[in-house]
Amino acid sequence: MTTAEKYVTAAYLVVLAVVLLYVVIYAFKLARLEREVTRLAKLAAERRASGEVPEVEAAEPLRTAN
Amino acid sequence: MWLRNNRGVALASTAALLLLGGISLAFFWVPDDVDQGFSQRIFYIHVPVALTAYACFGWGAWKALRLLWTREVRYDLESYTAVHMGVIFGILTLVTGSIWARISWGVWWSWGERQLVLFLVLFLFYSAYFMLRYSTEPGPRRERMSAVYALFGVVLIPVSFLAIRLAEGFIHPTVFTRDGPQMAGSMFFVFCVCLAGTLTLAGALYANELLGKRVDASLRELEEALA
Repeated sequence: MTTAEKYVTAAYLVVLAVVLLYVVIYAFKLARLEREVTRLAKLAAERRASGEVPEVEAAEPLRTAN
Repeated sequence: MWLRNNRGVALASTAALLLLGGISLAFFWVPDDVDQGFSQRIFYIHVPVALTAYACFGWGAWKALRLLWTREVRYDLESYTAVHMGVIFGILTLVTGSIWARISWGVWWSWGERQLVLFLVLFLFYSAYFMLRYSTEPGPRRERMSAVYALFGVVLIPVSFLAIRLAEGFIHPTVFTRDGPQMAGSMFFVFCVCLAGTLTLAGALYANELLGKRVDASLRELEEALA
């Protein structure tokens, strides 16, 4: 492998590494959001059991489109 | 309907296909450059990534303008996410450019090159955006300040883009001139595939990041409602 080939490969690998790092960071963020949802669902269930929050048939879906 | 609800997935799949195809073509199909040889292949990732960074900053400024024009709060998050993506692609531009400079010029960085210095200024300007944003309390004041800052930064994009053409005695190559792209048709084709791939990748990251931030904001509202 020539020096030029090594540098070119390194440049492409850097891009790949940054994208993968982003995916890892995003996975952590998703895990945190999942924990938050679980915690809030538990809190809502406790409130519902104690009669503080009325029963709802279906929740409004979250807006996801721009 | 599926496409509308799964925009991030569709964009990410398209980006993966385009980038895999483009990089494969860049390594195994396009001929070596007469002047730079094999090392010219960095062009197919460095230039698309740089143009994508400009596009993200431009998109962020457009959303900032929409915020100032309409006062709709959603544009604040969209502008912030676009600037966030622009900074990521800006880092990639600086790193890949630095590697290319090392092969071609023998140095990692050249302070005498206006193109490089202006891109660094643009990158640092938008990096400071986050400091400004997080040093202010959330609310309309922060939204307006961030929007004005994002709009100011966009002025640097044409300056940075044209610097290479305005500079005298530069060593940074000029590929796109008034006479069109100065490269073989096969090289230009691969460049277009890679550019489409990086732009789609930025779109996928933007859509997913925005979705995450919106869910985060909705959860905080829900938490306040349940508190």
